[in-house]
Amino acid sequence: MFKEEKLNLITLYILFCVPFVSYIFDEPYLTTLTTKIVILSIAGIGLNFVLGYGGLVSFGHAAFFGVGGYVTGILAIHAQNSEILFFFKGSNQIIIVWFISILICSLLAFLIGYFSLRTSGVYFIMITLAFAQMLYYFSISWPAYGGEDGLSIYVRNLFPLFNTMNPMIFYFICLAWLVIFLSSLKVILNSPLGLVLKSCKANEERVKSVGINPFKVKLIAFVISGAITGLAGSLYTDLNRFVSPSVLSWHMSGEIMVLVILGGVARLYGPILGAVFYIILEQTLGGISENWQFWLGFIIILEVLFARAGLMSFFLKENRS
Amino acid sequence: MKNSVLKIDSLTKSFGAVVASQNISLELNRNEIHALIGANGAGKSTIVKLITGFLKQESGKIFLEGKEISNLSSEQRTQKGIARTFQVSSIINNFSLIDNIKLSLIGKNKRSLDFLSNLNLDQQAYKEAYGFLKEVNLEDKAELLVSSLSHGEKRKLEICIALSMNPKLFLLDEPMAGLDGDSSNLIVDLFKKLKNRAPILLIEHDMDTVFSLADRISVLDYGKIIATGTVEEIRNNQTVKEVYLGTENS
Repeated sequence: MFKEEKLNLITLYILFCVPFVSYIFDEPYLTTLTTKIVILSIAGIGLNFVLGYGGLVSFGHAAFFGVGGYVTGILAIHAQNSEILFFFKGSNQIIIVWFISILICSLLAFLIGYFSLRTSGVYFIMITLAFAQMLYYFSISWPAYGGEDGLSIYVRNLFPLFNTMNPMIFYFICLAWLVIFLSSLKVILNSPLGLVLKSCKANEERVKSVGINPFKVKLIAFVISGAITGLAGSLYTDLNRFVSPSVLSWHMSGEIMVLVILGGVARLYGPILGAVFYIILEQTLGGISENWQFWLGFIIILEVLFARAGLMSFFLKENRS
Repeated sequence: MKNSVLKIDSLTKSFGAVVASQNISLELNRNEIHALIGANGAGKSTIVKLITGFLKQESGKIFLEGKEISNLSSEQRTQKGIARTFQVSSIINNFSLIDNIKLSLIGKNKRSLDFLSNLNLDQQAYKEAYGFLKEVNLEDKAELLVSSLSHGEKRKLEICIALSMNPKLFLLDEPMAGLDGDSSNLIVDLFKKLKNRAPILLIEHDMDTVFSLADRISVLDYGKIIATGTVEEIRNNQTVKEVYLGTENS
């Protein structure tokens, strides 16, 4: 049993070591698989920020994940084919791609949040889902960027001085983003904005009664969350060198939510454990049966009934369930 | 008018066919405890919600220190200086006492969008919050979770939160509800100190408390104020006796 800070450090240490283990045992696939875990963890911590700490059960985070992915794919394909996109030729420079993905996903989150945060409970779930589904159907019906078949990019976007096609380098780029987001969210959660966000989850009337407008705080949190999830989508496209409408579908929103619930809602590092467990299940049970999600459902039922604090609670001294 | 902190002018609010507040007018002056009494369903809590902006009036105006606040949101009214306590305690149970006070200080100091400062390292905020807890003798429990407090302590904390807003007036909605005798006495003493800082509009069922504390009393019946006056005037008012107090208090 560990204290939470110690468990968090161990988690990061293990993630740091994985590519070296993979190199020693000559299993490059392990690095790629762990890259997927890291990227899904980023998406999970993005959602967990609003779901776990703000009580905003967004069922439309695939919108940000998918748009981040499509922005990356579209910019790259225009750069590769030297085709004009609005006023410039696209870009295969990963830093520019990240910047544009974050910017567009932040604007999208502002737009979706501005309307959906006026509702709460089941209406909030439905309105976020509706926005994401609108984008999903839009992507299917947009043949210029592959429609239903999706969009392939031939090489990963370029990072100055490093070869992103090297799995280990790309892994460490993704891990760096994970650490940056974990550190940034820790700062935010310890700030006045973080306390107000947690208070909104606990009692919004109390927040209003001390002279704070909860809408503004929730909207800022939603934009931050959308930006983080959008960047995860961008990295996911570069990892697979492919993006398709499936990243915008409600299945993706559900998958990100499952990571959060599995790992532990309102635990900063919870989605990482959730992602590890999810990918392990996918790899082990997926090899046995196509319908491995049946067992995933079974595990979620058990967790909700007996360990609501998520997988983290099994490793921690203070079990919050 | 100069002495008046809160002035309500002809406030009306209905819920469908039910008129919850009908042409309500009252004033709250400096250094005063003005009690609002009435039977269940008389419309007391509706008035609190109208003053705090949690409900919107159909007609009438509300003035705070002479300035109209009728069209402001509840957050803006709090920023202008209206602090309230809730009929059903609304403190955040899974926060520590100190964090509950810090939340109100964030509201008072307009720091809700500050995402860079570390509240855990902010000694000034801690000292300020601790100071308010000391005023209600809860400083020893500063780091405990609210869920571990007794009902009376929660009531004290709720008043402490209102106090930390440094308000121009207090709206206390049934603050004695569920308290035993000793706790009630402590709260009554606290109110006597509070009224020198800011006037109190007190909504309360406990007549002993009201008569021992209030400088003026307004009596509500079916959404209308049927009498306003000093304790003696209300005790001797025939209509109030018939409608609310009955013979045992006369």
